[in-house]
Amino acid sequence: MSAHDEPLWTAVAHGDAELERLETLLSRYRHVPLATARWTRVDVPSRTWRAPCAAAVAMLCAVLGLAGWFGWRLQWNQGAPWAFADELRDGTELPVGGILETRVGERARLAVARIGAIDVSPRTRLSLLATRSGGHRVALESGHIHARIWAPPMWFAVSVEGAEIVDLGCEFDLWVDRAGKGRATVQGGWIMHARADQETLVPAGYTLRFDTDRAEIPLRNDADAGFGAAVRQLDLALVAGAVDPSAEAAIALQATPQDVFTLLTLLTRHPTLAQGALYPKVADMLGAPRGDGRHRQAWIRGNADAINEWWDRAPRPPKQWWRNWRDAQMG
Amino acid sequence: MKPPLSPFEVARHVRAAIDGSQQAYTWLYQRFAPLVHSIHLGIAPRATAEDLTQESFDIAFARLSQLREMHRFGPWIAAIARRQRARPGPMQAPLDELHAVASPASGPDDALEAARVLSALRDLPEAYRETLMLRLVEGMSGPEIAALTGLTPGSVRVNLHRGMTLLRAALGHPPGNNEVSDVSA
Repeated sequence: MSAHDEPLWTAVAHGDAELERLETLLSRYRHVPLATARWTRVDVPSRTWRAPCAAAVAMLCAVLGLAGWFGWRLQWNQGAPWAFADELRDGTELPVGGILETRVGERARLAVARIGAIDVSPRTRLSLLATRSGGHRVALESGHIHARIWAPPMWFAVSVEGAEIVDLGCEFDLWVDRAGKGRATVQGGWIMHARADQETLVPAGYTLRFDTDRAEIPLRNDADAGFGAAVRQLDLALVAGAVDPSAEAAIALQATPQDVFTLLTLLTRHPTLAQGALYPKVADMLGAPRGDGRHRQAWIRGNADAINEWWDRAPRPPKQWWRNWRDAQMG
Repeated sequence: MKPPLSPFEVARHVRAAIDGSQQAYTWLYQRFAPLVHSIHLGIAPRATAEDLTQESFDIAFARLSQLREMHRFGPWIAAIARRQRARPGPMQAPLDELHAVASPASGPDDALEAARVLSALRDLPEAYRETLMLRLVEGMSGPEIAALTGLTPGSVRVNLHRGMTLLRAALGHPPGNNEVSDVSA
């Protein structure tokens, strides 16, 4: 019996009579959901990090008188097919469940509802999984796409084997091979590589490599090769439960302020790393007090508030999704 | 096994709930109530655990707009639940749980044994207790537990195996065939 077939893990396999008896005994305590439950709407205060974007959009719409158009662009009927916008397929559509497979030398352009476009490279296989206002999702089995999305965060996602690439606004390239190995490069905004057990944020100007088991640490596109190697080396060592002082020292020595997201991700993924030289390095990059022992100890313990406090300080590239005029005029 | 929740689906429903969708509220409640209930059942009598579960969701939905990482609704509401405690008052004796949960199909021996097992579960360390509650009480699989709680599959496996080893020892049962003292992820 493989590890994945174990009764304790799968909850359906048999072979452990004692376990089954415990399940039978304890099932009487199972939660009984309410037959009817109703909650009142929650008023949403504007969040700090979204406020600048909302203000910019409001100003733009007021100047151009396009408030109604903005709402129309975001609205999409559930299950409505997406339109192709390339010469070869113009006038045709991709329905939910439909598959687009480009041949050698063949390209395609697909409208993502009314919120953006995907340029599909040759030898790429892509399917439309779901589409509705606030939730558009495709699966990239292999190949390359370039996505430009003009919508609030998490309205669009690409499913790859073992993970999702979630758009947080607004432009990125994604490559995946048939083994599920790939990389994502962000040109504008952010994306999140999301697995059940790991999430990695990638800002504009960075690339993230991944496979079906995990994602690496995002690196600046023009990061030095030696710096990148040291980051990978340290990440893998820590995953294996080991330490690598030489890699850690190399990173601390070579990192520039533009590498702040690489270091933040390292420290977030491996909180105990804050015991070493990278913590004060990032503190200096962010203008945070490097001598705050309380904060450092909280970070070492993996305290979410302490970690979020520094992510809030990090410089974010401006959210540009409201500026994508060429996408806004499409269709 | 049911496919585990995807972060994308969770975020989509959180967003819809913030926009006032009752369907989204219901979806979140149905998916995550077992998690919250398991946390409360680990330290409170069953009837109280049900009440606390409702209160946890009331608190969570009132604060939903404060959730910055919408896909992490599970760990977030779990943290809310852990911070809650039952209002002070006379604790129900374990015997009350026998009367509360005995089904017509089970005899008094089953009810007594169930209460004994639940008591042993409650004595486990928190990480093992909560994971085993989801597995043994709510009937969830390892991948479902990982997706719900935000734990890595490796951590869930460790919690399940080590928790079961401790539980069997507490109940005076022999160790299971697939349990080892150290489990690799």
